Amino acid sequence: MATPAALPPLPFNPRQVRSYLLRLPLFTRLVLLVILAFWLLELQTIWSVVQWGSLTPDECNLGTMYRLNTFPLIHTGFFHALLNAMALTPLLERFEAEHGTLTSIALFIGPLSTLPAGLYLLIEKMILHSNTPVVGASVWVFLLLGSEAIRTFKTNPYFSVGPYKIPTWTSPLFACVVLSILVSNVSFLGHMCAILVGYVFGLGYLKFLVPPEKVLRWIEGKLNLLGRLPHYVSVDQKTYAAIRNLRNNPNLLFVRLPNLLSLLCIIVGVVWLLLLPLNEYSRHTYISENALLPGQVHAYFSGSEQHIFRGYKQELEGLLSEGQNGIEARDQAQLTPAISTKIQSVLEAAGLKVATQKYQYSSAGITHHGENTYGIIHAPRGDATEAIVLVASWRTANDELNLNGVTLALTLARYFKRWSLWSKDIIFLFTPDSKSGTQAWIDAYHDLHPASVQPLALKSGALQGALVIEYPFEHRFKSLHIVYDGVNGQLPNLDLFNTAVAIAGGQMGFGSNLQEMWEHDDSYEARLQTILRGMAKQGLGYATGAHSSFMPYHIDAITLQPTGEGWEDEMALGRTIESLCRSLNNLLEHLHQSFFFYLLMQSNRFVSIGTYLPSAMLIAGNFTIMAIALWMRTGYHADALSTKTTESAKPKEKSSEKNSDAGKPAEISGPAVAERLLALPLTLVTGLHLLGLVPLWLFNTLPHQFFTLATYAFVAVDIVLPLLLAALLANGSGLTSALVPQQYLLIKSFALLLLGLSLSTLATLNFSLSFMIGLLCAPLSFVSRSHCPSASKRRACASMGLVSLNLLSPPTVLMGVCWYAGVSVEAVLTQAAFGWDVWGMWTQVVIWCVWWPAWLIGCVLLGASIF
Amino acid sequence: MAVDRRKIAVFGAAFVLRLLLVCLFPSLPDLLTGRVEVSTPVNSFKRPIFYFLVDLVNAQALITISESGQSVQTRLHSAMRKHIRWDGVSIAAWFLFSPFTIATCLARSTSVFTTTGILYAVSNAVDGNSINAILALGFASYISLYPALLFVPLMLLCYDRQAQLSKTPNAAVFFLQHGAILLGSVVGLLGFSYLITRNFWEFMSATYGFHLLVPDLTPNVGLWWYFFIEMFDSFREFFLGVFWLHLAAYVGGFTARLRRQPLFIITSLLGVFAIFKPYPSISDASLYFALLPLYRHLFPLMRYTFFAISALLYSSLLGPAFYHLWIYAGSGNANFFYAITLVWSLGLSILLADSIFAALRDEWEQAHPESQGKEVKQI
Repeated sequence: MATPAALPPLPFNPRQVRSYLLRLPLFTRLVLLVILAFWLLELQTIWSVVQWGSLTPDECNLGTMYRLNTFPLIHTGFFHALLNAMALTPLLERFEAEHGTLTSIALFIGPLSTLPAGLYLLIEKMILHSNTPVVGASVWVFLLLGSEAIRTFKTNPYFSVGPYKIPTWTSPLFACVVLSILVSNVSFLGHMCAILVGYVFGLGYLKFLVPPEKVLRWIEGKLNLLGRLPHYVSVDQKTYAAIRNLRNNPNLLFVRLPNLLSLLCIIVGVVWLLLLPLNEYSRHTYISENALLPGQVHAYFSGSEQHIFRGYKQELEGLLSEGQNGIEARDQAQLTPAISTKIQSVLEAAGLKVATQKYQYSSAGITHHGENTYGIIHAPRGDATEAIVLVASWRTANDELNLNGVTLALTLARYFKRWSLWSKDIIFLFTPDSKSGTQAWIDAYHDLHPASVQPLALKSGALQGALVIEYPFEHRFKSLHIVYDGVNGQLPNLDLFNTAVAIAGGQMGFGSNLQEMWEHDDSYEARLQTILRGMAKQGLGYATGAHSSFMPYHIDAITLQPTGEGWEDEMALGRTIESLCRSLNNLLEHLHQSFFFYLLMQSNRFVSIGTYLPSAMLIAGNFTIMAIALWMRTGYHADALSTKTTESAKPKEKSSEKNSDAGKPAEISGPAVAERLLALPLTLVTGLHLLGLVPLWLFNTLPHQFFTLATYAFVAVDIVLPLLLAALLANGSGLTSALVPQQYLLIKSFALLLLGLSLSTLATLNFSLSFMIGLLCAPLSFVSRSHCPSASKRRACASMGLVSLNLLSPPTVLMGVCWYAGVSVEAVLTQAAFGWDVWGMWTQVVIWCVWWPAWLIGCVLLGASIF
Repeated sequence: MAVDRRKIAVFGAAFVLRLLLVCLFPSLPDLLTGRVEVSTPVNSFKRPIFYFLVDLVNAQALITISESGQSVQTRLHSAMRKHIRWDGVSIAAWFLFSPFTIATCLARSTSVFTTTGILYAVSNAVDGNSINAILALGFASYISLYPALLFVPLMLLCYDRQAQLSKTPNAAVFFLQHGAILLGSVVGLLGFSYLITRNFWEFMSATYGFHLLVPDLTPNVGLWWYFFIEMFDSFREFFLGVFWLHLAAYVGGFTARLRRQPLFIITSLLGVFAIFKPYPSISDASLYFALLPLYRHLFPLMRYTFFAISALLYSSLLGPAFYHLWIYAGSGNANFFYAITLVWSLGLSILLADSIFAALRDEWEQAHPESQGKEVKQI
């Protein structure tokens, strides 16, 4: 029997003290009561209790043998009584809980008082020839400490202090010595005797003194002590046994403890995330790259440039209204060849080198095509090895007409060309839309474009940063909305974002927003909401604007969107961009100083990866913990059962071995670890993960009009397939023999191992996606084949579990989210297929090859309880 | 005939799987060819197809090795748990369906030829064709140099088999004879190379010199590149010597300690090579994993399989992720990837040490039948 190395901690909480006292067992209460009574008695002066009951060697004779039993209950003063009572209570309570009330009474009234007393008398009188009276419960305290120390020694023989190893059984001796030094009037000898008896008791030499259980049970039964006495601890009750037997209790160790740990991991993971918005866990943003010097230069873009802006705008508008009239038609305007020619002529007139690029993508049965126009300002002070990109899409990310944005970019191109201070080339890129145009251009810039995209005729150096300008309305704006999420959750260097915020706030004097949080009051809720919105975008991994396409090439990029009704005009936006370009122009090397992994909760507050990563890792870790526990359990459980099951399973195994494809391990085991039947679980788990390729392929190649249908079909498949597989596994159906419980555990173990593995890897690449999938998969840790003997109950449980798991299946979650967000399933899936084909987005891979198989296996295990 | 059907099924399935992967994901071979985990400066050779067939040939050699029973019953040793074993087809299936093998095959790494050489050397040795075995080893050594270290254990295997099958040959003569054949075969192949290239020393320094002097420090899954990047040039020669000595030292140790199980020496040495050779790739690990199931009877004695395999799985997923963060995303650095290669090597080392422990324990239990199944403590 193992003993906890330390005594239970002192109950400090008053409520805990109360409940502790209320739960004290009977004998402990009696002892405390008697100690109190004797102390009260001692208060009167007529009759000295101490003199009556103390263990005084000279007074002891046959007539006063009672002293050998009374002395532990008597104390010399209040503090003596109080301290002893406090020390005794936990020890005695534990002793009683373990041995029962009757045994405790028998032992403590009898031998455990008289033996130390006798020993003390013997030594004091016969050897030392002195006569020191002793009283107090400390004799029991040391006796119990001694016996506990022996038990600790058995499980935990040494504690090391530096290089020395000290046997744990000496700890009461130390306590005794220290006490004797610190407190006066302490009987060293008395304590030593008590410890000695305690050792002997702990070693089990006094077992013969314990009344036989049979007798105790008989007394208990006859007198119905359990019914009559409150707080009575029966012989059969073993409260501490459960904790002490942890090591010998596989059910607790392998079933309940991992469940608890897993649950704890998930809860801590979620709470961790919720703590992030607090000031203690987040940080102020700061500019890490000194070269940037945001807002340190005067921006000259103003005054006369406004006339040029108006002129360009009028020319473009003129092209719009030709053949089209009405506001609506204008809003639908596409970038026609006429407009493209106009843009080229403006750029050429400003003295830029101009080129165009045609591209075409087809995805989900839709063809996207267009023509990019771009011009390059060659740096007067550079060697064309580095460049900055300014992008203006004809249609914004929200599919609005970006007339002001394009005009502003044209005006800036003419304006920048006249400056001689650029040390990096500046590329002005005009794309027809925000989804595909920049992608085609940036792919071609790095010669990684598909055949349907034209190569670039004109190139510059390595791209250092990109800014996207959007100004899709006519009125003046109030603040700047900065969009920064890239494809697959990649983020630009935080310095770029910080520079934009610093310039907007400091130099230009207007605020900045992020994640569409128009009203941000810096409260906890607002911060959390910002983080969650950022996480949702990052997790889904789609391109949030024209800037997103730059991120996979390690080019930091942001989109600047003016928002709100205010006093700032397009010139203010122009000056912001000028200042940003000047900052980027200062860079001596690629942005690398600041963070690439962060969660922003406000324009000037963030948490970095070191702070937030543990939350996703904890959630991923819960699956791994479970997998390890299940693995150990399969080795352990079968150990006890092996002799029984292997014999009965033998003939079946033999027949199955012929049929099984990958070969089955023989079932005979060594004594330590039971053999695991790995072949089928491994094949099943691998097979189901490969099966995920089917929906992955389907949802990326079907024409878009079938997406809704396919989703419904998959909901149906998700209901039927697990049941089918479960039935197949449970009955064998010729392919293999029916599965044994161990194989179900192994299937779950492998599935969870893979899930935990994938999610923890994913957490380093895309924290949010890993976190979301981890949360959605959290129930899978706790779902398994039920062992309830009653079939009807088992079936009811399994059916309910299946229904609730089906609510968490990938297609159902997709439909739920679409319904909540108010978008059509088809639109989302079309976008996803476009992302897969064009952006190189791999969110789908995670969903179909990590989440779906794990979910499927969870359902199969649950479904197996039905059959 | 049931066994044959299974064999056809496994081989067919393996072939079809590879074909499917290539057809469904036409970009996969090129992607894998570019991966540092698979492709090192000494094994990238971009020629298409027929690698599938090489894999099947390798699997056939594995079946031969397995069916000889040399893993459980050698001339001097008979394992305690002989009955726990997988048949040849299962072992071939392990090899053919191992993701590492598939990746190596699709990446068209020339390591598979070395693998073929080694496997054929072993399979001929267990069949008693010692001359063929040595010729195959000569071929493997000619391609990759390091298989030459397997000469001694392979000789032991041939010697034992010869003694078992016919009569005990004279040890010294036997060794000298076969050493001469190995030397002859390598020299012969080098002669051919000389005839083709005409510039012998340049050829030598570009091939074996490359293996020996490790001039290219492109990252791979091994332990050398990072160490030699960090090294001051003046110490380079010294540590090159130390590293090679370290690699070669295992041959002596294993041979002396595990003399009674020569096939196990070869298996363990292949594990050592997968960890400590200068340009290891996952194909070396796949070869080790291919031979390990021959020792199925030792698995019950191994203690850390689950943790070692978990470490390997974690590193094989995290490795590419961290490489991506370092090279493509630019948000990580070399230490990310290096840390994962350390974990990979750690996983392999645990597996290797654990299997050797199990083999020794097996021998020990044979000597002390009374202690079978009891806890052991190092004394």
